[in-house]
Amino acid sequence: MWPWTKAKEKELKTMRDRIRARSNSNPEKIYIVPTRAGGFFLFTTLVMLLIGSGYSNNLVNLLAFFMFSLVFVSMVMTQLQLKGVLVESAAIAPAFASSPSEHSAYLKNSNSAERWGIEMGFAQFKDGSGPKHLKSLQTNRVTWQQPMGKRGKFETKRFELYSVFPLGLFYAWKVVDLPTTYWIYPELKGSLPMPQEMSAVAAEGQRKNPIGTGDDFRGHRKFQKGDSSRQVDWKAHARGRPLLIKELNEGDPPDQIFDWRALDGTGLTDEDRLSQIAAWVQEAYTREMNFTLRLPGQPDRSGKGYEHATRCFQSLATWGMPS
Amino acid sequence: MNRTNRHSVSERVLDRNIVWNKPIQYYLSALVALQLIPLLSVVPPWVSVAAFALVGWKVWHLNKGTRLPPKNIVTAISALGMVGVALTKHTLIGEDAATASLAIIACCKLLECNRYRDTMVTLVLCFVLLMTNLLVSQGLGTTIFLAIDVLLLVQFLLQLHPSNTSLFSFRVVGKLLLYILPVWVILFTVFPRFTVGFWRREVAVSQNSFSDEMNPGVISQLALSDELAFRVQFSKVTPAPSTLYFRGGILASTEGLHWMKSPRRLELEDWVHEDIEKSPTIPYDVFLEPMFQKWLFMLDYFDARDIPEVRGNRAIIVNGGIAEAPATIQARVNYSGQALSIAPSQERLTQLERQTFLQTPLKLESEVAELAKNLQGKTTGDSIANLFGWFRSEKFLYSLSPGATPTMSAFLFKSKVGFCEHYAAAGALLLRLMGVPARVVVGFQGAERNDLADYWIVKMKNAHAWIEAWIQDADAKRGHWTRLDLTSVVAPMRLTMGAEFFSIASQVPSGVNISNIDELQDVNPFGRFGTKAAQAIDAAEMQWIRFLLAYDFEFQQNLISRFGVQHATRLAFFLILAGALGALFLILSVLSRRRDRKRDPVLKEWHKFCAKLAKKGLVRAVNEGPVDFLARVSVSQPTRAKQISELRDLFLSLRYREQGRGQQLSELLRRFRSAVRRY
Repeated sequence: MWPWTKAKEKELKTMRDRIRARSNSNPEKIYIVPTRAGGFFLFTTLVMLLIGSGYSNNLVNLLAFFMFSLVFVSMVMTQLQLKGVLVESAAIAPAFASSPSEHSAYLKNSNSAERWGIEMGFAQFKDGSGPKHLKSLQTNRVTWQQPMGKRGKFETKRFELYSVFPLGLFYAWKVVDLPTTYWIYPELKGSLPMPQEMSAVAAEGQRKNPIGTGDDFRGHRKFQKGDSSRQVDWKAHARGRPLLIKELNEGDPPDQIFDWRALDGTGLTDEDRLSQIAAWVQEAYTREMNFTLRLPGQPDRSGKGYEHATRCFQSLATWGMPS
Repeated sequence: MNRTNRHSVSERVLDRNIVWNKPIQYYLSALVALQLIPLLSVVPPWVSVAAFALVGWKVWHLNKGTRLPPKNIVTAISALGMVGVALTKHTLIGEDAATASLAIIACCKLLECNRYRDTMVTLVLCFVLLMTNLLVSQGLGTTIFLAIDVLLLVQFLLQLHPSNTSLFSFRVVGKLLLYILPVWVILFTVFPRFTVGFWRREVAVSQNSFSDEMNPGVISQLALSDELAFRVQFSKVTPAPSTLYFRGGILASTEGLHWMKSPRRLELEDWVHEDIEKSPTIPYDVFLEPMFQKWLFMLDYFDARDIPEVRGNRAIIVNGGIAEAPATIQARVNYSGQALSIAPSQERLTQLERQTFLQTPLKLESEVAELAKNLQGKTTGDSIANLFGWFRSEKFLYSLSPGATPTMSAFLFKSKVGFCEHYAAAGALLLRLMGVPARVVVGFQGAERNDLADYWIVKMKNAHAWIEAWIQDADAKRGHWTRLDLTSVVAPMRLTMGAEFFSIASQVPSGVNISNIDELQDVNPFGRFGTKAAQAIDAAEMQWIRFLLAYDFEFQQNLISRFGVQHATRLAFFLILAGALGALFLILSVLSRRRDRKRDPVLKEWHKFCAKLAKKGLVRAVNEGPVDFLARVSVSQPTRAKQISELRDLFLSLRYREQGRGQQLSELLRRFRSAVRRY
């Protein structure tokens, strides 16, 4: 799992207050309806009750009453599963198109009893989390995988908790207003080597080791979020200076330029180009390289590290889309 | 997202469970097979074979992991099954036909089942098949089957909707059953019953049942059935077993050995009531198994004042002291009656009655007529005495397998072997030929006592036939029907020990004298212990049947009248039911909403402190930790800075540092508490 496809814990935590403050609907309100199976079951029970009365057969009555008890108790139990369960936060981690995304939620079970068979999900996703078990008197972290669609920046308004537990005869649900933005980056796909390597190949091995592992000190720059701790100049920090990043002359790998136009001759479609560039960004991040993203109609983005990569992915995700 | 979508969300998740969960499919197949077992005796044999074959097909598919047969093939199979049932039963509407069709449909549904929805439909069909079993039989065994089956079905439902993708908790089952029990009990107790069933089961007449005629001449061997006929319980006095005669029907029309019901409809007799009132009565309760007849077996002597009720309907009393249910009895019923211990007298016979009870066959064998002439005495009493004397002296034999006796004379003069029906037929005919009005009564004689629960079991093998002769009083104004049993002359053991004795006696060489009754009882293959166990099981069954039968609307009204509600209507019961279920709903909600009472004492004090500060307008933000918050507080309340920092230190050490050191912790807590109080 890549770091940017993990839900951010801190973000999730600050969200709790947002939910409490902005929730229009009553988050404690539970709706309940019989499921199709439940309706069929209840209908059969009533027919059986009629037959029991018709034949004055107390044993048939006994069975019909038992089935009715099942309906009654499952009605109570199903909605009880949702009672006292609060959604503290929920988030959708960014994902690459056509691979699953990690959805996560913090659910507080304020009951002294456990809660069983609770499913949940953001409103527009067809598959939920599957039945989950919540321990009593604590906040439970629940994660599940969700297949995602095409790239882009999306919004979902609501988060839902629901349950058919214990017998599937009733369906109870609870809605929480939870406006959430999430990203789907272009699919990581493409077999072309990086542009620099392409030119290196073109130059017929002028430079055998384009990346190099040199450690010539080039200078300092300020620490940015997402920078690797290996690059921090800890000695300088120990001398009382702020966190600084040692910029090394890594055997002179020139900045990579991932240019949309440079792929003109390859015959790739727009989506495939985006996928190819995303794959390069991914690789460049892994190799801790500087790179520049050059998309038509957008200013160049240069830099390195997690934040830069994320911004590049986001640009790629929304490229060509009305903002 | 609308509701249907919501459903499909859940159903899709569940579909995944079904498709991948082979054990669930095996479980479901086993459940369907379980429902088919008791139906073996109900549905036509080919239906059972087909149904089990379909289940087998499903299991084979599961084993092989192959694809299930396509839907249209399964539909074709079920349609074929229905056609087969229609051809076998000539209908699809009757209960048996419906049961057979249901069995086939359930198995077809099982076969094609690979989605959640199919699984639920199959499961509900299992419940329906279980119900058809209960329509056929309501005994203790069926009830135990019901209990186990229902538990398995619920267990399956729970498996189908797991509490967690991986975990199955027994606590869930326990909790569910715990919740169900009170609801079930309330429903059973309060739901108002409908006393009169508005549907009746139509079942082919059982072969062992009683019929409206007897023709012992054509039966070469009497089948001894151990099948239960009814159970009797005496509330006050228990008569001796040999005097237990239960009247079923009266046969008044004869063609020699062949006796039938009289085609004439006779008026009810005029009983002499002062006579009846002198006689002590013997109250009793009968729990009758369905015989698909109208007869209600009443203990002799019949008390005309006592009209039994069957399911709220009064029985019809017909001439001869016979009680009939208003409709054919197709399910277990109970009724109570009272018998007189002396034969009641009645006014003289009417002309029509005389004619009926003196009717003789048109073609009468001359030897029989001659015998009657020879036996005729001066008085009725003399004639009867002569008749009994003749049978005693002629060395008649009692046998359950007398061989064919085509005519009356063949029986009386040649074979001289017969069972109760022969003697009743011959005796009654001879009496008529001697001018004594006589009739044959069919019913039961004798019973086995269940020592454990003090009631009597009457089996089909206790079926008996005897004579009643009209004996006029000396003043010729009145008379009474007197019970005459020739079997008592021929085979007195039949009356004291039951017909079973003769089935054993016929297997021992003649000349061996079985006089010890205990020896006979040990014939039971399981010995005395087996007898006791059988009695215990029968007693439990009796109690259960009694409860199921007794629990009707009248019983419910009596129950509720104890709480001061008189003559409650069904509506009142429904209201009580609604109230009770509502109350239960609230109780269940409250019980499972219960929050933890043992709250952290440190947090409790901290919240108290925060509440105090909030009154002064210092509200802690949700995202503000205690340190940040108290720093803000001490800025706005610089005078109390020292107190606040002490509180903060205490709180922090209680909450985050000092864990697990009991003594010290309680000391800190005490200090924290007083600091909060002082603030």
